[in-house]
Amino acid sequence: MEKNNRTLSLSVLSGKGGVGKTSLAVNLAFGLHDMNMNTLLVDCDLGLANLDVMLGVSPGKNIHDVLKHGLSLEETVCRLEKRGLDLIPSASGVVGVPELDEGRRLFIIEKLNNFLSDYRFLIMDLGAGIGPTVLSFARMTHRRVVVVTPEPTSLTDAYALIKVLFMRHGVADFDVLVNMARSEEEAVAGYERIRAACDKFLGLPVRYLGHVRRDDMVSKSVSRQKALVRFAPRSPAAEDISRIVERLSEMRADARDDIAGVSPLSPDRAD
Amino acid sequence: MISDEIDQARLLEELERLEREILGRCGKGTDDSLSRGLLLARVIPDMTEDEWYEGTGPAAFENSWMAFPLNGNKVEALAKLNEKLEKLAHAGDRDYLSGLYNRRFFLRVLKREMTKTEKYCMPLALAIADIDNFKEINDTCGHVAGDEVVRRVADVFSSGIRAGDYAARIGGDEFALILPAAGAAESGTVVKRFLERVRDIDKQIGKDCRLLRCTLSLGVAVYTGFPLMTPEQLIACADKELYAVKRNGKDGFRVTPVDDAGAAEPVVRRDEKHFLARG
Repeated sequence: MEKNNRTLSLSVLSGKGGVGKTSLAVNLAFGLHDMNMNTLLVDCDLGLANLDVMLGVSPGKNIHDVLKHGLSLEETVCRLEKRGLDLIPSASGVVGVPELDEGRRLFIIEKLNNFLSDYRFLIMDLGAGIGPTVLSFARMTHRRVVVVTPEPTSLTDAYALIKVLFMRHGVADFDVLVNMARSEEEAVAGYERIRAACDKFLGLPVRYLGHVRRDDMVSKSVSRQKALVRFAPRSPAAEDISRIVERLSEMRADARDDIAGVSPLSPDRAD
Repeated sequence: MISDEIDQARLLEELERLEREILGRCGKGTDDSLSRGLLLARVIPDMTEDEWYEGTGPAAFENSWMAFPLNGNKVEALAKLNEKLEKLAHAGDRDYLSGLYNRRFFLRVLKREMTKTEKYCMPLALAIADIDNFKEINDTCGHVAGDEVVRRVADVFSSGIRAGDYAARIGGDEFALILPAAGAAESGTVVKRFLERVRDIDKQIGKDCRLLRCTLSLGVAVYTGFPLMTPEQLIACADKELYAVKRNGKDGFRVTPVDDAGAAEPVVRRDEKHFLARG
């Protein structure tokens, strides 16, 4: 490709479900938009997609229409704000298509790459676990944000995900985000465990992206179907999120030269 | 297309030049005898001219001779030559008796398809099939009849195989199918169809031998890349299912997904888990 890519792609992952991954993906997208960074959010949890539910939007079309009926992404995209924040929804509870075959993945990727030039960030909300679709998309983005909570089960599942991506696919770039932490100390202690395990068993350095405190406003915002950073912008969790958004923005600035010649989604990287 | 025609024209020219030269060297025999003569040519890799004249080159003159009639009809000769070259190129990958792919080609494709599975996270089904009671067929009807049975079963595979799948003969009465991107359910449907068609094979072999039945046993292993395996390990998994079918009365199939559940080592080992939980 030409060396003019300016979109930083992030996949948001978690080994375990229920760690607030989707809510974080939504709020990071809103936060980036508020910093004047055009952002496209893609719901890649094809089996049990619920980004649209979380945001109270009822999109007419979704990613399955692209796959099955050849719709363009422009026809599918759902505007979350007047400009600069868009969502490509998935269909919830579609049985039989939670895993995409290779051809369909490549098809979606090509469409996305052509569609992305106006965005500064692409955020892919992937499903939990270590299924083929998750692994495949996770390998194709520039960076990976691994969402964990301080619980040992979450740490173990996230470690499993990192291990598979690293050992099997040579992916060595991970930013860990600790969600639902009671305190900064607890968050750092949780991160430290996963960092130490990656270092000890894999010889792999991982980075700390930050933490988001446990906050009742998060679940309230979900039941109101609004993004937390809109519903309660001054809540502790929203404050933490805006710090992380700033880091992501710095991350993009630092990576500008690196990503210039690399498509946001590159199947070639999936080796 | 155009360049192809030019090449053919040049080849034709070469052949005619060769013919003139050979005729010249043979001296002036009667036209009649020469036009009924045949020029035999053969490519022997790695052989030098010196070796040829000293007679020290490779001695095996199998069927790789090419013949040109010296009757001036070069177009026909060229067509036959092309056919022969194609056959030779083909022969390396084919089993002579069944016409299916041979074991060497099978192993090469299996390796390649397993790598694809690992890279692109799509399943791969490997089926190993075995003709039931084949030894009995050989013992009672003779080996010629045995060969005929192998051929008929092979025909079922080659006529029923889907585009993109591979059928090979990998042993005396042993066959293998490689079904890229097929999971457990899909591969089950495919092999079931083969089992049914083999049951319907014509049982009359020659004049003297009529089989009571002709059936297959089939074991399928579905590879997902978790855990990583060698081709030999995957074949062993399919073989294991095949033996189970044999033990349970033959004429059937079993499919096993090869995944982490059966793996010796889970993704996260006990010591890693312990470390993550306790710090």
